[in-house]
Amino acid sequence: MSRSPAILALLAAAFVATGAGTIESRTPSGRTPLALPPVSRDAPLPDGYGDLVRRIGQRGPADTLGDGLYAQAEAAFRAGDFDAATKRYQEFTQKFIRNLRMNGALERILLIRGGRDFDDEPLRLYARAEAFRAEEKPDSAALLLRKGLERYPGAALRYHFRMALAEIARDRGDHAAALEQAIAVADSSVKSRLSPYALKMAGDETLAMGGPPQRAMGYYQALLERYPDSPLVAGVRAQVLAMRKRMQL
Amino acid sequence: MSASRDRLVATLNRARGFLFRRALEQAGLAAVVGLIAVALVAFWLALAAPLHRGEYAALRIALLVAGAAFLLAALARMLRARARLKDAALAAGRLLGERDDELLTALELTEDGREAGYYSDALREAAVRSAADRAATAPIARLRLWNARGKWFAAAGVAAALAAITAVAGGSRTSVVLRHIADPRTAPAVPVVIRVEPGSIEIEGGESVPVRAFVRGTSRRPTLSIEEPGGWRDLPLDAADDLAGARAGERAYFVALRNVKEDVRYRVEAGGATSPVFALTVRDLPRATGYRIRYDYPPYTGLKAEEGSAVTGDLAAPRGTRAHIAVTLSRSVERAEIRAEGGGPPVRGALGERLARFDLPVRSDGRYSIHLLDARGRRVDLGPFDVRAIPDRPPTVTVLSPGPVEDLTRDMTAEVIAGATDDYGVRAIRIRYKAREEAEREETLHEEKGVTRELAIRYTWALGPMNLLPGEEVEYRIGATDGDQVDGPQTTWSEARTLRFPSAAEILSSLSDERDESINTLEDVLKSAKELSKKSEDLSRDLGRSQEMTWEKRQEAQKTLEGQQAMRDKIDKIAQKLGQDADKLSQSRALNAELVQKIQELQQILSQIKDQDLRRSIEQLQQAMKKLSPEEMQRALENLKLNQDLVMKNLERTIEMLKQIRTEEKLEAASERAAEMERRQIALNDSLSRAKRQDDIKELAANQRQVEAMSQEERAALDSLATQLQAMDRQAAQESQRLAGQLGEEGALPDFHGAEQGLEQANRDQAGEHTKSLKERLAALRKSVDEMREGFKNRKKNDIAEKMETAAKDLIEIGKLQENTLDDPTSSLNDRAETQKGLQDATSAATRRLGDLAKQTLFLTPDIGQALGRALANQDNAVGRYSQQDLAGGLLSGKEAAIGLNQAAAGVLRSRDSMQGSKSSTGFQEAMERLQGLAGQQQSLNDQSMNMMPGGEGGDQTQGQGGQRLTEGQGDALARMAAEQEAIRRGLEETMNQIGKGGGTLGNLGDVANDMKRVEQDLRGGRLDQETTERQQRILSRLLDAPRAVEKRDYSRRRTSRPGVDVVRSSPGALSPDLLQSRPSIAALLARAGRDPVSPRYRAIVDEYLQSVLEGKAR
Repeated sequence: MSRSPAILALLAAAFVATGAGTIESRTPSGRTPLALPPVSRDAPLPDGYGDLVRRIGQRGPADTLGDGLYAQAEAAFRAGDFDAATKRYQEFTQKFIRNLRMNGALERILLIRGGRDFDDEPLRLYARAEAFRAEEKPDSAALLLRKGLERYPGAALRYHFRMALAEIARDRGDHAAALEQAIAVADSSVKSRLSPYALKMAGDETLAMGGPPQRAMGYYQALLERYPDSPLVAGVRAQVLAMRKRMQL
Repeated sequence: MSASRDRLVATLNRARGFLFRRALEQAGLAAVVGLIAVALVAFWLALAAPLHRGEYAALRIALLVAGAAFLLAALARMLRARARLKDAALAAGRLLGERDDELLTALELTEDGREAGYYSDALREAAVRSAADRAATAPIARLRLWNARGKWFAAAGVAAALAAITAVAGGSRTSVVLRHIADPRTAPAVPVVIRVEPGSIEIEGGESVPVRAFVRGTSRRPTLSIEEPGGWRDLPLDAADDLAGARAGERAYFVALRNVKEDVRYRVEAGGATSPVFALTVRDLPRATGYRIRYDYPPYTGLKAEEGSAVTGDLAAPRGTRAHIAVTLSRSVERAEIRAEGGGPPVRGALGERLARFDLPVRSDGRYSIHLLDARGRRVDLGPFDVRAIPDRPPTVTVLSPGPVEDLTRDMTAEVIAGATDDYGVRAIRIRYKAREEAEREETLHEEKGVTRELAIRYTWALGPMNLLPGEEVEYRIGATDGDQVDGPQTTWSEARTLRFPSAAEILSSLSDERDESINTLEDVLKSAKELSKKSEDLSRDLGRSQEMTWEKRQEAQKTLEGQQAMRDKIDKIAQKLGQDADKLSQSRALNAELVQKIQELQQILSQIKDQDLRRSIEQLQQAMKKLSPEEMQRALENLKLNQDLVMKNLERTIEMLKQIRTEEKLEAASERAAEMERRQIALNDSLSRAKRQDDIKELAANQRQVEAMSQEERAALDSLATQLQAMDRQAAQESQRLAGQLGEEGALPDFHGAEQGLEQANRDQAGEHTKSLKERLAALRKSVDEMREGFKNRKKNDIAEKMETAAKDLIEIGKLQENTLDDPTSSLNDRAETQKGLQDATSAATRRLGDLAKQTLFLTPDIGQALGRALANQDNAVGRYSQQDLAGGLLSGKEAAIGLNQAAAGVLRSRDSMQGSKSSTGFQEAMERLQGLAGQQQSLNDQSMNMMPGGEGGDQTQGQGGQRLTEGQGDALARMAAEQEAIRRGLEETMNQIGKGGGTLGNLGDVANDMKRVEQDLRGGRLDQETTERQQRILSRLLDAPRAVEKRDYSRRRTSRPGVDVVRSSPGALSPDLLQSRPSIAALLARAGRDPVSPRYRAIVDEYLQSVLEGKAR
């Protein structure tokens, strides 16, 4: 217990001394305090730790190398030039193997590869919607996604559309809409990799909208049973246990 | 006084004379009488008793002694006679009467000094005178007379008379006796009596005989004389200690004749006497005590003479051998001879001491006896004995390799290892072979200059020039010729052996059948494993309940242990079988490297189950058995169950993979069989077009029937495939069913029958029509089967690709969640630790799935595994850090884990892309093609180097050694070549990395890479010499060989040594040069094409090409 603050202080000092300038220039959120209060094991992290988490989680110079190429690829993606985007994403994944954006790049590659039906139109719509979301225009994005769903109900990306809609609704606080979209993706007949995420979202949104915990547990339980290999399982299982305890109490 | 005295003395002296004479007379007479009496007695004795020399001598001595005694007695008597003066005075005085001492007194008075003081001289004178006077008057002469004189004379007369009477009565003997007494030497000697024990007796051979001699008549030591061929041999006799048996007067002597085996004649001599000759007769007949036989083999056998002892006189030797028989006998014989049973003159033997020698040639089988005649004329027959004249046995031939029926390997060579032995010696090893209906050929593989009893050869027989077609056979025999110079060389041929050029379909079909068995066995094993697992569980539960370790429970545990061991054995057998299959497949021309790879991997899995999982189970159970505590036993059984679950899981996976391999093998077999049918049909059509005679056409009917039989096999195989594929690939199953139908009643079958009928009837038109149709049908079938096979493979490839993509997506999702933990500014450390643990578990699960996938494809490269390893380690570290309230440490590890996951996902996607663009799902083929490409590049580089070498085309411009400097341009060229060499090396290393580490076992090309490095260094240093180019050539050679090395990699490692043979010749070269000169037919062309290591994928194209050649020819 007594060791943590000292270590954190040393680490913070080390970061300030070595890369603070760079970090500061990239993250204008302010300086990390040199001395942080002790952190509890069970309580959420107190103020001040957020920056530390962000800075450690993000980036030393090596971890951000290649961001430019990634940005180019993203631009190409949003512009609908998927071949160029794929090429750049691939180049990015091959060259900048320590950049944490690689995960996103790989997702994009798979998305492009799996969603090029209907002459790329659904993909293009999705890309545009992503762009709107990035520009913090969720309504435009939602509109576009709904249009896409109407026009291409059989598109490979239809579940992506729905999940994006659910996320937008969740962010907007429209839990019912989010739940509706999530349940559509979580349906057992749907063979999508998004299904476990949709189930989790359905559970989360049920709870968020004040729905019966049993129903939320049902979603969680379905996730645990249908997708035991999903990386979400550990978190959801912990969540279910906590809920059961609360329900018993 | 003196006168008186003198007168007295004179008188007395005269008296003394009378007295002396009387005494002499008395003594002499007595002595004479006595002597005569003694002599008379001796005379009587000599006459009466048969005296001998000794006795006479004694008698004489006795006489002499008696005479001497009498003389001495007489002398003594005389001496005792009173011859002194006083005695004479006394005797004379008696003659005077009254007083007989008067004279003695007077004599005493005459002695001076005596009594002188008492008597006066006168008185004494007077007395003397008186005495002298009286003495003068005395009848002195009377003193001469004595009373017994007459008696003595009478006695002497009587004695003399008796002697005379005796002498007269003795007659002629008297003189003899007297002579003998006078000279005992003239008397006969005393007779010596010798008594000998035991005299003449019969004894057993070898007995010791004590000879006792009792001698009387002489004290001289007797001698024993034994008769020998050269005379009598004397042996001294010793005085016997024991006088038992000796009679009075006998002396006993003794000698022992030991170990008397022969008859002995003997006698005893003593004191000039000789006993009679006695005989010790040995009772037994001569018998053989041993045989020593020396065989002088005939020179042509090459055998050295041999000599040995035997207990019988049986002979066994090669014909022509001369046998020298030495029979050792119990006793010497007079004559010995051999008589053959079949007649013929007897063979006299040379005799020795207890020995008979014979010299007998071994000409033929028979019997003989040895006839012995001993000294006593007794006959003894020895035998009969067998004579076995071993005829020249033909050589024996043993062919160690190949087996009686063996398949040819891909290189169309067969290594013949054969050995021959012969009694006379092997001269040559031959081979006689026949392919198809051709005439039999015979070749000499090896010929010895001399002869050797054993000869082994190793011969690499190249059968390439025979142009065999798949399914054809070569029948051969290995022969050995001996060096018999008597009846002529004999040759033995081994049994007919067959080398088959197997069709790929046959090999694959056989493997497929074996696979069924392996699958069944493994399913049994799995069933057993499940039962054992249940048993362990039950037992564990029982123990938990009862907390008691009873005998019954221990027995159950023991049974479980035995069950585990049995499972292990079964798995081991299957693993071995798989290894053999892989060898067989890699040896055969039906090589499918992917298939081999898979089989070897399965073998590894099974070995792992056997060597790790099962062994651990067994060890756990054994430990449990040792523990008497029920708690420990229960714990051990629980562990065992967990381990058993792992075993079952692995077994299930293995069974599934085996089923998949079986299907692939069947598909390959179907494809190969279809191609072979087509080839055969093409060849048959070709033969039909060439056939000129009706018989030739008729002969083709058999070939057509063979093709038909193959078509039925194919049909059955396709039906079977259809059933199997139903569960895996419905599309392929339907296609298989359809193709099977094409070979049935409504397909090719009528054509087959029509063609066979036409051929049998030598109806060229009818046959031609059907065979043409068949050719087309079979070509179509082959194409369809190939397509079906390729379709199945592609679908499978797609399936793997899909799985890879799924795996990549899993990793991306985990990576994303991992990243999310970095962006979570609020979660507590506990929550983070839990989340991190969950992600770690998910990553572990994804890694396992990826590991399973990696067993199906080589495209998943090791760097993916390394990235995953990093991710897992960092995740684990992050969990620990968070648990220790080290937020920064946890975050940093989490970030590294995310990077590792991203890299792994990227790697998997790259692999998937590579596979999608590749030709095979394993990547093996690509690796091989890359190696071939590298070989091409190396070839080009080598050419450049050769051109730049002195003496090459550009050699006059460049000199890398000898001190000459390179020009700038030449230096650049070498630098460029060094860079090219480096590029080739990197390509090689990459390929090795992919194949070698990805589960494959590439032939060791590491040294090639090292060679390449050296070449790079040479070229960069401006050095280009002979050594460099040679190294480059070596590199090229290895690269060209690499694919082959890959195919056979494990085979060479597992190859076991064969028993050594005396290899006299490794490879005498091709058999028949004329084979090489034969004009290749279309069939041969097709056969050769079928033999080439062409991938089945391309074989169809090659066949099509050859078919077009054929058609062009036919036109």
